[in-house]
Amino acid sequence: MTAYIIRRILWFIPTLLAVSIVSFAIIQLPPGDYLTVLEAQMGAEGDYSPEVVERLRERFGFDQPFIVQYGKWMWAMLAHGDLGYSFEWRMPVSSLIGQYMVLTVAVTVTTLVATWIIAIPIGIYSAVRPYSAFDYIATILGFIGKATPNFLLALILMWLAFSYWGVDVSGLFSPEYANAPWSWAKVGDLITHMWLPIIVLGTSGAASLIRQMRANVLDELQKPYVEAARAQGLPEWRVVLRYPVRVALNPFLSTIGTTLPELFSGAVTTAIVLNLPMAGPMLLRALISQDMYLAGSYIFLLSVFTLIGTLISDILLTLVDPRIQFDEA
Amino acid sequence: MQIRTLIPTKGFTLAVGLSALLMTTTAWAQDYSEAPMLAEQVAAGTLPAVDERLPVEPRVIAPYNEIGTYGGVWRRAFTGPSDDRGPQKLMEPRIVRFVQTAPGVFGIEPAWASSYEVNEDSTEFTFNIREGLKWSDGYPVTTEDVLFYFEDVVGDDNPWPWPSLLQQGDSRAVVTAIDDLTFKVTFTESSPLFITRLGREYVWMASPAHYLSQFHPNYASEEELAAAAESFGVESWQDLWGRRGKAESFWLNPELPTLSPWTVSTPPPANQVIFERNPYYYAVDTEGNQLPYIDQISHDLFQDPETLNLWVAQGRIDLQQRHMGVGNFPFFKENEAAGDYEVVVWSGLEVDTLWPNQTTNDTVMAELFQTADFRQALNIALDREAINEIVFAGLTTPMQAGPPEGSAIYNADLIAKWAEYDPDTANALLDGLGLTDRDGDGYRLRPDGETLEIIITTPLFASNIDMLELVSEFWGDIGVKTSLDVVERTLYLDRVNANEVMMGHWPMGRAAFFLIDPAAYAATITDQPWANAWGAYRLDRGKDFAVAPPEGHMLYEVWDKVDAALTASSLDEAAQIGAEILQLHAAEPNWIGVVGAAPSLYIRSNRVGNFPEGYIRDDITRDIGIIPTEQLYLKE
Repeated sequence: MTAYIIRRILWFIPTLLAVSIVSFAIIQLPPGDYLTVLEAQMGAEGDYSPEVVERLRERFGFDQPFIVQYGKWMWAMLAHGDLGYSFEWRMPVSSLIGQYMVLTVAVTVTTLVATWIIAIPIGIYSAVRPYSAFDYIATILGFIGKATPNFLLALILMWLAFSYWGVDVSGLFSPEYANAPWSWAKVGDLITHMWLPIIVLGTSGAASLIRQMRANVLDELQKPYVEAARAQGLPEWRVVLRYPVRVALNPFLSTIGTTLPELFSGAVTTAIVLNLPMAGPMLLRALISQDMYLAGSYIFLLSVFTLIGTLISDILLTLVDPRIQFDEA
Repeated sequence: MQIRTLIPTKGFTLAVGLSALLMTTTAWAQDYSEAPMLAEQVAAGTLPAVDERLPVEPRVIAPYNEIGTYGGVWRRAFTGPSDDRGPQKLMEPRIVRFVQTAPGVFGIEPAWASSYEVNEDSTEFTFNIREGLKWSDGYPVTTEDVLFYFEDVVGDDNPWPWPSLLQQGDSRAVVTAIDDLTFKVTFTESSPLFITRLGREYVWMASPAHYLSQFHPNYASEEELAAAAESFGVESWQDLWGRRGKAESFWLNPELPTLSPWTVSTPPPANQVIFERNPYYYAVDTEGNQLPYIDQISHDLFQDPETLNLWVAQGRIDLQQRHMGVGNFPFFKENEAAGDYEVVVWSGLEVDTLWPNQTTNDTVMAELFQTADFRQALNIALDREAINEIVFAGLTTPMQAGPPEGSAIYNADLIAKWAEYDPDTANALLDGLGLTDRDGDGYRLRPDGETLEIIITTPLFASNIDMLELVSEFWGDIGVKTSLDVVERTLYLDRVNANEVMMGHWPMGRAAFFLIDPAAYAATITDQPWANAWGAYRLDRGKDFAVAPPEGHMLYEVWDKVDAALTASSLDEAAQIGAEILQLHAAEPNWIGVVGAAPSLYIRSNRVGNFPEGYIRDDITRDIGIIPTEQLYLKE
């Protein structure tokens, strides 16, 4: 197993290299560069100066070919762990994205866990009591949740909260905590603000999870081993939880890898609408202003998280289902 | 507004009037008051007393309504690192500043200078720095800071380019120090617009030499520079300088000594950027209270305009116009009571305008656009009144593009020209041009047999798709096909820069005193491309599509006049030349102005005092910066 994990981690290297080249190339695809954006901005404000733009072009190395720019970025990252430099913010990317990444991971992982806590029991119950009133209600809510785009749900909830309670539910912190150093009070403030993004981000995921869980458990419940377990006199809850549920969990575990990036990308629009200090809005802004090292680093880090997610899901899979073996050869 | 208010003689009277006021000021020099938060520091011995901090003759700012009270946080919102102009306009450290004494009546006053003198032919400008004026860290301001600015900050080998304001053709103005507090700017030719332009351009005239010289290669060794760059977390000392410079930017460096009423205390990338009062700020109110009244200004980061709208409705914004769309007027009005604010309306001077590129690389269209009858037909085919009612809730004024009424130099003929709806004449004009053949869909054919189609390129942010759809319907009525190319703002600029735009869409702005920035009239501004290739010829920046206008074209005359205005012997004469430029354009407008003079909406919390109504807002006169923000206060 250790050898397997090491091998998997070694595979990260070529994968990430490929991801970084592709993302760097995609960021460069739109015409112009950061300086064109800056020119546009300066032009609109009436203080355009070709000298300033020319100097910055040299300073930031925009006059060099793509491969040189990429090479410099990669080399700095490998040699010094330096993610490059944000033109827009004029600071090293690494000192810029830390807090955003932490909050992004916190919100995403909490959402994932919350989704499971809600969806799995509902799914199981719906399967054990199919076509009951509860099953129908859960199904209807699930489909609505699945069919509503995240950002729309966010807008609706914000509007409801505003028009009925007159409260602002956007952001992750109250204004008085936005700049405060971390403290228990700040964590408390974060928790009171986190429920909305979790609902918005988690609803559609929970909906599909409920449907999958229900279908899987229903399938398993028909199988002879369940019959056998019952015949041996095991209590019903134990029969269900011990065998069919365990088998039915397989598909979830194997999709953690894909769920993580889905949550991340879903979080972009939601974070913009809800004004969350997360990575998504910053990535979008970086893309619009063609701040390529900032955007490139985000995409790179998100890819790292995705790869780790996939690895975790594979490991969990073997733990839950002994039938799955690592190929040790 | 009359042109008079902006001419130097007025500047003189203002300066004189001010020194009369200042004499009385010195009389109460002993009893200046200060904010409680500063009084505490004085009591604790960490700050000198208020009369030691203020200059001998502070600038006296009369509050609009009443003497204010100290304290509080002025809450605003911003969109990110590129939104520095928002906070900047609240607190520009200018040597002279625009004032608006009544709606539409502008003037210019010395700010951190106590006075200035201009010689007879406007070639020599002598400025007097306030005696005892101090940077926000308490260090005295002298001509050394002025020389540092002109010798080490701007110019060829320096972080900033030499300001165009101090350039005349090939010759540069010379700045000399007469003594510690007096300096002189000398031009080779007269420069009547100099003082007015100083009120608008990003030329601060002084830089804190005692602080910034440590980051400058003329003063610091290579090792020191490298160490400084590292301490700011940037790669090179060059990154310490410039608009986004970590050391020089007013909103990135809390250590930077400034001459602004507030200085940054929590810089970006914080989600809440905070400014705090400058304890050494050089102005007082008419009772000798040191300004500003307000302790702090906070800016909350928002991503989506809807978030800002919700903040407004919940009373989380105290005073702000930036990012407040006119289209949200009904929403803002509806929530006035809930958010405990009022929507205060100022007038704007922009005109939503379409720019037919007379030098587009589609030569058939270029020729049509160059034909006055064709432009007239496009103009009068628009029912501007309908556009105003349907798209802008009747809040704008249907007009041709030009400086609207209320601008310093304005021409009634220009803004009325071709602005009447007359589709019959439009059709007749097109028929008269021989564009009588139609295609299967009823659109006219161009001389080369293709369908007459106009492609409007519009940047996403500025475009009002609803408006453009109405435009295309009205043009459809006269047999002209229209299609829209909606692009991201950067791409728009890119396309114009490559001369790939047939018709642009961008507001005509900066009208309060258009001579300060006459680029739209001279076709030399990128975002308003009505004669892209000709403008490129004038700018001479090596664009391969640049080409001279045909012989005898009115643009030659406009360019001559623009040059003449900049070196006219007096501001009166410059304004006269400015009026002539407008008259040249009024003959046969080169563009298609649609509606303009839309209101500017200020969300003003009911706790904000001393904020006037009905003023004119324009970038030239620094938006909200036209009112002394120092005298705003928060009622508790």
